[in-house]
Amino acid sequence: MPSLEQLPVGLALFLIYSAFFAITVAALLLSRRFSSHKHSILQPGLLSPLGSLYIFTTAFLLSNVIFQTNNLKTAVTQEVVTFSKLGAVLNVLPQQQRVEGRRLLFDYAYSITHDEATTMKQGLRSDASEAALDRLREFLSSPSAALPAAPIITPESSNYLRRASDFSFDLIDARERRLSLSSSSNSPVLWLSIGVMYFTFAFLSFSVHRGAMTLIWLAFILLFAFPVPAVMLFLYSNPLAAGLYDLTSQFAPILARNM
Amino acid sequence: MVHISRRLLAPWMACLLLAPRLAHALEPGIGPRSILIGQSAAFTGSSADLGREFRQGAHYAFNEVNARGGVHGRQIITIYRDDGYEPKRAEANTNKFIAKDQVFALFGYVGTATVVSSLPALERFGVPLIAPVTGAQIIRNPVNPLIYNLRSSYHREIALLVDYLLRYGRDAIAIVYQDDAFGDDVLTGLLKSLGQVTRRPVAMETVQRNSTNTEEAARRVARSKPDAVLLASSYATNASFITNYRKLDTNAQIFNLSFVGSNALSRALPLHLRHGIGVSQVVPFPWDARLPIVRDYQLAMKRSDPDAKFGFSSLEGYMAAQLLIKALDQAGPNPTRQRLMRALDHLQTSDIGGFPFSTSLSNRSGSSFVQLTFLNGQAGSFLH
Repeated sequence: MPSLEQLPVGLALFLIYSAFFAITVAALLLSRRFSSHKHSILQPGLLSPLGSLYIFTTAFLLSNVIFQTNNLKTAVTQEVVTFSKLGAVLNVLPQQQRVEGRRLLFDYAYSITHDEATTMKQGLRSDASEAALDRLREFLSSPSAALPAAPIITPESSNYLRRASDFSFDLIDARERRLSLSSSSNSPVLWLSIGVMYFTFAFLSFSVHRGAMTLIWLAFILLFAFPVPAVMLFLYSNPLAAGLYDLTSQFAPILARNM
Repeated sequence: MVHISRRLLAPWMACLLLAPRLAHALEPGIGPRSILIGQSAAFTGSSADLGREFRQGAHYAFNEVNARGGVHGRQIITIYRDDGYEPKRAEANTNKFIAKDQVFALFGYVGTATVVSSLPALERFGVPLIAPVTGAQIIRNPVNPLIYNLRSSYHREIALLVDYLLRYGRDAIAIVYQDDAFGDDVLTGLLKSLGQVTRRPVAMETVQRNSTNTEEAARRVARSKPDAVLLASSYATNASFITNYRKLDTNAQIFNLSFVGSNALSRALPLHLRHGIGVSQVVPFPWDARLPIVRDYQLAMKRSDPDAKFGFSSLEGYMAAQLLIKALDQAGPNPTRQRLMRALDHLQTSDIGGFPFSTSLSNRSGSSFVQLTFLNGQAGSFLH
């Protein structure tokens, strides 16, 4: 059975809203049954702390995933910068080595935008990107990536080996960071806790109010307002799949550059 | 006595004074304020961008020198005739340039077959052809005294490609070549380069000039399972081949020669097939302004059209025009075709804005500069 983040965003949002709707209906029916037994021990004053608990919990979770999304953006920016730096550093190599190095480097960048950007939406790695990175590393670990025997010493060439080495390992780090930060933080336990809190709040709300129209309006208000933090939580948990963050557009400038 | 002397001297004096002007009047294409140059190339049809981009680059150079007052006070005026990359039309154009337009020199002919078909007319009337856009051996070896090359030969491009491919483990090389003088030259070059390492192409297929009928060639090449495919045709044919070839679920490295028209090839390819296509080049990288000629080219383009896009073909046009301007300048204020050719022969090993080339009576190889580039991403950018 696919998890929520593996479903299309529209379908996942529909399921989330459906779950809230189902909880609301269940809470309404249970509250009617509860109130018919004349157990009117529940007071409206309980609504405020319960609502606060729901809001604080979801807001805390939401701030966490937004923070993670921002970290992802920073990581991707850093990765793009590393691509540019490694591409520039390879400039000191003789022509054939340079063009082969750059070809492999930007093949990897291209595979990120066209393969991994898609697989990451399902929280998966791309085999094509893995292979492209391996080819680049193989090149960088071969004599092809070495300077000729008697190179002309320039500020760029003097530190070439150290920089090329640093940037190639930085690329590996950046990929792992990107994949880690983009993996969904949706946890069934979190969703269960949100569901339980919402049910409790809805049940209490329906229990302390009377009148058919009041209850209908209350149900509408609950369904309009309370799923919003949960929906935001879902979207920010996987910003790539939700379309909040476009990985391809981040890499576009380096792939559009004549180098 | 004096009266008689004056009557006798007057015509002689007039002749002496008018002699240079009469000489210019007799030299085709040279006017008191103009120098007429002819260019036949593809400006329409499936290879149109080959001629258009080269002409655009040449225009920038000619416009600049004309704006500064021309060469020795003469404006360079270029007449263009479209040959659609067809040899017969190129031959007819050449005859018109010489007989009807009375051009001083010919410039920037695009294509091997088109240049070859124009050779008889050039040789009959002794008209020089400067910087043709072909790297074929047929106009280099033996030396044709009327042809002055700027670009490197196809054989040099192929030698670099083969060296690169073998170096990085792509041993099985196939070739798809145009069924004409251009294709034959490229095939010869590939056989020569592979022969040096005792190898042969794994497949050799032909395509027709200006044709996009490449399905059969793609199928046959795919059956031979090459590591790399060298394409020797213009952009429309090559783009068609690449599209058909990739449909067969193949991933061999594709290489094109400089003649393909790099920017035009990029535009002709579907977006998803652009990345990683290789093109050998015979001019510097148009985006690398460290070389003075490239910097001048970029400035000239931006002054004329801020939205203009740099490219290899237009840079070649700009450099070819600079070579012609340099030779015209050195031919002096009273240029003749002989003086122009003498000036070009005396350039020997020279450079245009840092781009080295050589030309002399015994050597018309032009430049030896070749480099490899790859299309990067889908935006039509290049790596070098």
